[in-house]
Amino acid sequence: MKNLLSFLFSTSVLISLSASAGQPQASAAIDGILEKSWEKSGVTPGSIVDDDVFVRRIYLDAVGRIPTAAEIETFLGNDSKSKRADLINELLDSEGYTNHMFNFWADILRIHSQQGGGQNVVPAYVGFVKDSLRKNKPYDQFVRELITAEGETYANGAIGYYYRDRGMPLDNMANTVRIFLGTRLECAQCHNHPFDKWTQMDFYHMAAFSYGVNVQNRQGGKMFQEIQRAMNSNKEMDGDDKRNMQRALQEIRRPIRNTPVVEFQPEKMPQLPHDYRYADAKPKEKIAEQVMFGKSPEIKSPGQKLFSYADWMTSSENPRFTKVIANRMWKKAMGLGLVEPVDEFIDSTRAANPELLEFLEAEMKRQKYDLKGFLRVLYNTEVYQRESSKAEVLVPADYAFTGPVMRRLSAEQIWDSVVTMVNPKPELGNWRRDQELILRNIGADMLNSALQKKSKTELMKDIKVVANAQKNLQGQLLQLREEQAEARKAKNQEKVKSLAQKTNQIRRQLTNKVYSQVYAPMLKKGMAKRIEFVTPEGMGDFAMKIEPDQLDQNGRVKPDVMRQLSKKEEEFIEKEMDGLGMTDPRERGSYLSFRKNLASNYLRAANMDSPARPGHFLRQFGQSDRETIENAESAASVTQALTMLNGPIFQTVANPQSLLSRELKKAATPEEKLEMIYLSVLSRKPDAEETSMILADAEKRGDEIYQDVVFALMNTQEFYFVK
Amino acid sequence: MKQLLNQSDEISRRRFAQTAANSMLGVGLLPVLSENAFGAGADAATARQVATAKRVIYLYMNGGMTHMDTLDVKRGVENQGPTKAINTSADGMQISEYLPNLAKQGHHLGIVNSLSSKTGAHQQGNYLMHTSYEMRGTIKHPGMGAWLLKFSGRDNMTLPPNVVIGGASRHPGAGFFESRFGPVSIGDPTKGLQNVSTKLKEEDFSYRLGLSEKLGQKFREEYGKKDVRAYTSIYEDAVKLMDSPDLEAFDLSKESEKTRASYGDDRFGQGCLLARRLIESGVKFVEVSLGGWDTHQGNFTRVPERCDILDKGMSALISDLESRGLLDDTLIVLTTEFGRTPRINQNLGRDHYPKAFSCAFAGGGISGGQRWGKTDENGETVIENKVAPADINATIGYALGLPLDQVLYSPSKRPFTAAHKGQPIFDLFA
Repeated sequence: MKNLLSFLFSTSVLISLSASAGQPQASAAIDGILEKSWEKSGVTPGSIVDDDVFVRRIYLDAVGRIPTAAEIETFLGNDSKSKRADLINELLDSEGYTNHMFNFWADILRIHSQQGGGQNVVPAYVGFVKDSLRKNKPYDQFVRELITAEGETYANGAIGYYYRDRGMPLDNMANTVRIFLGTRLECAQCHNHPFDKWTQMDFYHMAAFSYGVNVQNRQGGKMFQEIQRAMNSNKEMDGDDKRNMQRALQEIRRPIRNTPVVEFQPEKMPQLPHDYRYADAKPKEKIAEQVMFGKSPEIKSPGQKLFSYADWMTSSENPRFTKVIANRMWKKAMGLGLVEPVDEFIDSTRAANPELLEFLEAEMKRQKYDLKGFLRVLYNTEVYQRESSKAEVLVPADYAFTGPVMRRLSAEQIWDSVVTMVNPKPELGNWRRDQELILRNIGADMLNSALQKKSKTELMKDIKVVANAQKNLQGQLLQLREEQAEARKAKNQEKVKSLAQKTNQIRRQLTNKVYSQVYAPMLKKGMAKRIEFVTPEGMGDFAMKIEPDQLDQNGRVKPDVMRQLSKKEEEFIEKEMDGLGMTDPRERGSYLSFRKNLASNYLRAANMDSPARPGHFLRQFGQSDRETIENAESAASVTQALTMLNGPIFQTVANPQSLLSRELKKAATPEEKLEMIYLSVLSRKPDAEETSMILADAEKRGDEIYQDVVFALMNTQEFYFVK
Repeated sequence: MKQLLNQSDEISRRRFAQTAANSMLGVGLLPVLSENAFGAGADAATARQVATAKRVIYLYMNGGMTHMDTLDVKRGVENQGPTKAINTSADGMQISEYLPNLAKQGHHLGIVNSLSSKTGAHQQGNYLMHTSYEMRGTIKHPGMGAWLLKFSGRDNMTLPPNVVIGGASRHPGAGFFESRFGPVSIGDPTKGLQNVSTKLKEEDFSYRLGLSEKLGQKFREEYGKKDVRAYTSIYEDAVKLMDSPDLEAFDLSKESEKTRASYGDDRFGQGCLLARRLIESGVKFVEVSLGGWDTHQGNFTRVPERCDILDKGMSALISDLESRGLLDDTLIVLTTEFGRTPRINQNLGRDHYPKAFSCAFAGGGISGGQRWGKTDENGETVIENKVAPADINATIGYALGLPLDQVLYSPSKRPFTAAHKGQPIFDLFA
């Protein structure tokens, strides 16, 4: 193998011009393998693309957005021999990489911000995935952390992986096998797989590993469960008393109800369905864990089952684990996998270029699953930097991989590119909201630890007190209801409304009672948490201390903390304006309000809800609904054209405070302005023909021509596609 | 019928192409699949009829509509609470006092009181009701609107053929079908379709379009691929739609004040009115949703409010369609994800109850003034002619003349049928 590599390396150097200095050795080896195959089949690859095509392509592929005019000019003006390799390094190390790759994984993992009850879990999960990408956590470790995730939201965001499929442990296993082993097992849930070798028994054996993962919605620890059990079996209490106590328990749990916990219960085993029809077992039989292929992992104790499952799955010996991710990353760079679909391998699967896939697999192992390192190799190949295919490419077997496949930008890339045109700090998230989400988990953490400090006797006493308070308030509630019914009959809307308000007040009394009885006495100074707020793009990191008394009855931080954060945000914008040399107070005022709008509405997709709400620009352009794995689309639709032609997007781009408008103002001559527009939208300069045609029109259009051109270019195919 | 035949040709062609493509993708040849591969179509209803309905208006009550206070009111039992039954225009058929106008349309209603499922969570129940399939993490199934379009194509070539009014966020949409079969979502019925008119001056808009065309020409010529060309045609279609007189279908201001008021001054009522306008212009499937039915607390104050809205909108829709001669071939469906506990809880509410609940049909070949199925005297258990959500969808499919036993394959090559083996309630058509 080693000999082969060095041979390949030297051939590639001999045959072609070097695309870039600073190219990793593995990149050259990949080029060598491809050149050999082109020679064999008599294919001539396209040439290495010019810098302007390259710069647009690498920004879109590595950080998921087009470059700004300034970024392009910096790159074009650099005359270092290794400028392409340097730019690749710079981009892979930037926050843009995190944001872009988050979209990639959110689509695979079906990360859904609006998942029921997931108010605290999903933000923590999003944080976990982003942090893993930012720190370039080795892929095998990332996967291991997902599938062995246990604990509480605020301690381990990775539990979002199991939370996503809560109540559906069988589906979760099928998804895990599909995502990480590129193998389809879901058919075998109901019968032996019709096209592959998997049996229904294989399915249940595999499911047995993670079947004991239990996602509990409301919790409060073991003590709660004990009390609940004791109460259920207490024969002395009558039904009403029991119900009252249950309600009280529920009320006490309410403030922490959105902090689910994932616990592993190794004794839980899956059962075959009632209509199991094969001879090897009986219906409803309990099934123990067994891997679907390869060497069985050692299970030291039942509690270790998840770890054994993860070890087997992520082992470099696993015949599919490495292949799948290597092929996925190849597709990420080139637009088409060597095997398609990327998650449907069977034994007879043959890659379009088997030697190449084998090499990629070895390289992934050699790099110890360092995904940035792996992408660095791919982006530094000559083949990545060659002209893209002009012809239709449907299946890998029909394509000699002479360059990337030309493709429409993803919904996220289009949106993020628009954001790049308007927002001077495109990588920055919805700063205030993100902090609020972090704080929510901190609040839940504090309330939870307060609860843990209680003894069983104390807690029983609390339950009684709350139950009593509830009983008393119940009478008032009933009374109010009757009055309300009467008021409704009399069609006295105002009275109905005021009675409803009263009802809410009483409910709030109960919340207050719970807080003062159960939580407040246990919330001690020592629980204060220091949080470091880190802001990308150097807006100024800072730390803040949250004291227990800054929480409200529901464990949310009080409004004054949020006001502090808002103030901080304004300070950032003030600083930004100072940097821009803005002095006129009126201009500052209008900039501030535009900028605040950007900070909550014109963010990169990765910093907004996942997925965006239905009907949002992103969804119209095919962002995945995150319901099924890799559900994004790039098909054209009429609503896309309508959105681009008539939607609010263009107004934002044309706003005098948008990045593009302010840059445009700085450009002195019409030619310079045109150049600025072309660079900002299409990442290239206009050619002579385009310039003269536009300038001719300018005579009748006047200054309007610049908006005309921005509008026109954003509605061309050249904007929607990456060359 | 001819169109339908062509369509199924199209489907088998597509399947052949998919099979061929899969073999080229290196996953090996598929075994030849019979229509009832792995039981997908095996027990599905084979009954077909000449369609009695050409289109559907689907009224979805989000949150779980209490059956005992709407379509299945009992007498003299503690479970019933204060809700009373009133007579309808159909002999011997009663519904809730909160639906007085709908009661006058009783002779059009086919009420089903024997719905039952095992799914008591909102999202899962909603999904099951829309798709006939249980919600799974590995696939998304199409809603009935998408099945209809898949089988029978569209009537109006400019307007979207499948529309959801007021809350599509959890709608299964096109499922595993191509997204064009999925519904276009309209949030506010009074605002209509978004982004269909330009804020620019006419001449500025056309100058910019022309400029875009010119500046994009070189790229289009160099890259003549299908996906690139698609962006030329959607722009042509978009401009066509912007100029289309059909857009008026979305404009409620074309209706008289009296008509608008008759539907009720709220999103649901106006949504029903919009639904009527849309089907008049050839839109085939319109869903209008009304939320707020999750009455864990204050059931007897909140349900009457919900019913007011439903009552006005739905009864106006029935009589308006009737007077326009459209009721005969437009199927109206009123449904929800589950019923609510017959036993009243201590907050004077009712909790989730999938074991027994109700829905209703009108128009589209349904012979009104009748009930199907029955619950016991306490409204707790179905004691006669139990049906499942899939049977409701099969009934819709039967009315539309869809081939319920036709197996279609998801891209993951799993076999599915519209209404998932549900059996139509034939008696409702007699």
